[in-house]
Amino acid sequence: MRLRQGLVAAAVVAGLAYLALRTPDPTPAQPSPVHRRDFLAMGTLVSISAYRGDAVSPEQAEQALGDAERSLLDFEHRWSAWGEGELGRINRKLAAGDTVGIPPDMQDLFGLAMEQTRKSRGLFDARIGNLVWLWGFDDESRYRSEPPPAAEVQAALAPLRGAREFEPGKPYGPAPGVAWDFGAIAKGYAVEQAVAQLKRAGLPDVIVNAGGNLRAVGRHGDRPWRVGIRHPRAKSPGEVLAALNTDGDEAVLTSGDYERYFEHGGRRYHHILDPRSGEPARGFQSVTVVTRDAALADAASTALFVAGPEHWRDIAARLGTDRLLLVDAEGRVAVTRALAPRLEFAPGIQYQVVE
Amino acid sequence: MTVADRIVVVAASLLVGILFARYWGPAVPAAAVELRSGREVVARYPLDRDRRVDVQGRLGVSVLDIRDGRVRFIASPCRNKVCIHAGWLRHSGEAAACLPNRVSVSLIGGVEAEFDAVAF
Amino acid sequence: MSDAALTRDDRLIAGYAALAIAIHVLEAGFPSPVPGIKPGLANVVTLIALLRHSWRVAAWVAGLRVLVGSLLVGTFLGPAFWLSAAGATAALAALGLGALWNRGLRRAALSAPGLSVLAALAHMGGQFFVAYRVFVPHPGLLHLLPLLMAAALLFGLVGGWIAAQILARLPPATGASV
Repeated sequence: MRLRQGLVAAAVVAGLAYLALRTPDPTPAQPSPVHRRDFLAMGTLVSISAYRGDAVSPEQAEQALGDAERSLLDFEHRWSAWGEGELGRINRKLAAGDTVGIPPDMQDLFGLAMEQTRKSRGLFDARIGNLVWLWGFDDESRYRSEPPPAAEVQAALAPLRGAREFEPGKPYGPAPGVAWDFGAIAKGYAVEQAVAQLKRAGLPDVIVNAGGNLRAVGRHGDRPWRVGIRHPRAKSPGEVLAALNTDGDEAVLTSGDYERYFEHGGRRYHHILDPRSGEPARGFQSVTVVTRDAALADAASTALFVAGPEHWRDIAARLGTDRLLLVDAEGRVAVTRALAPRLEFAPGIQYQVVE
Repeated sequence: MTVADRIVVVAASLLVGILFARYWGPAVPAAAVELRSGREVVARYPLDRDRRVDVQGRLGVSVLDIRDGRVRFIASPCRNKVCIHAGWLRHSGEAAACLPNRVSVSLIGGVEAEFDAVAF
Repeated sequence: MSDAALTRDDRLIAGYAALAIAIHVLEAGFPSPVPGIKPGLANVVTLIALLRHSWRVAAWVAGLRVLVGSLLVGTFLGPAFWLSAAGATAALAALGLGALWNRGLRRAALSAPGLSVLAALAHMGGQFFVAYRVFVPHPGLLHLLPLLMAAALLFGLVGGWIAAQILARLPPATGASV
């Protein structure tokens, strides 16, 4: 029968073409071992991803992520410079000319911030709370659309010269004109705490990412966690400069001029303020630090950003960090020799390896 | 059946096979857009249906555009429009937010993203 | 209208079209398991008209069938009508190309099965194009395309076989131009 032959032939040809050209099946659908949670905290988007091993049930993992979220929100409340929490209370007392006792559980971060201030020769400084407030970068509901008057900037800056240093275990003050703002270190510190908390809850394989301040520990199952480093002039969030397969315990922190900014008179005014001039630091679009400790790296990326293309080497040496990815104001990309072999650059990205 | 008939039947069969290979993919769990206002998840939408969504935030209404399997902010009552400059979100795990309005959007599900996280 | 006003072609076209319309209406009465999939037996009539007479006769038959058939079924100017019209137009275009091919290459001429498969795929392709671009521009529809085209191939082969059987039993037509 001609018809049957034709039908069989057509079916065979179509079947062969399908088999030859079909895309391989993706992995069969099963409950994802990665639990993820996104939320707004500390003035940025926080996301937690946890690869759940067999020791923990999905419910326990969700519970742990929820606990970590609550801890970060508590942290935000406690450390916001002018909120109702503990740091807000401290700053208001300082503004009133008082001397304030620093609660024991806050001593650690105060000490860390002061140490980084000394090491960076003041390029990172957590005592610029009044300056940050003046620029409006501390609270997204007060964002400005033009820079504050120069005289006000100078007035906020003046008390910082020779301002009282924090000494562990001692009350702080009186320090007229000084207010503490941990915006450039607290996110890294909070990330460290969240990672530790998740580990205690049986989740040793996690990424905590607080607005680009991220720490990746453990692995994604049988492969390392894979992290992208954003292009500072990205047109979509997926546009990256380079990718990094983490080594099981790494922090990747970026300070960039694109996270919080406004434009005025054709100039970009961003949130990384130079404590010497009181103005947004010029010279870099972004600085990425790869290291182990997120809190130290957070402060370091800020200090290096402020140092600028001329002086970053000196500050990097003082802070003991050598794995850096730098994008200068003209968009030129430089990577240090220590970090270069670890990065996979995106197609079309030109870069220079520097010492 | 002439030779030409056979050629036509074989070519048509090849075409059908190719179409199956190209479009008859196994069903991938559909990606979705998750919208949050403040701390609450206010809505989830499948990514494969084009639509505009209004989300009430702290300052006003943010408008999101879901189109061609992507999503972005197209209007928001904030001053600096960083959310809109963020552009299109395409891959699972990507997120953007209008911080002043406390509205955020992220992509969930679907094909696994290339990166587990992006330092930005 | 007197008999004298009717040419031989008119009578031919009327006869074929009546048959095609009857099949069209009958097919519309059967529910289809998958929307868009129908045996398309009415196309067999178009094919026979082409092979026994000319592309012009076939075009008239197909045009009348879509028009009158949709009036009778009650889908005139509705989405089903436009889908049907798009399909018939595409199928006629494919048959036209097939007829041109046969005129140029008599030794490698297409016969009923080949032409039928061509027409069936073009019919489904035209319908799908209009459905996708005009009525339901949804990516999910693309997942249906392979199924629809496979069905078109199947019905094209069956229709071609039926047409070949009928043609073999009919006396040779005078004035066949293909």
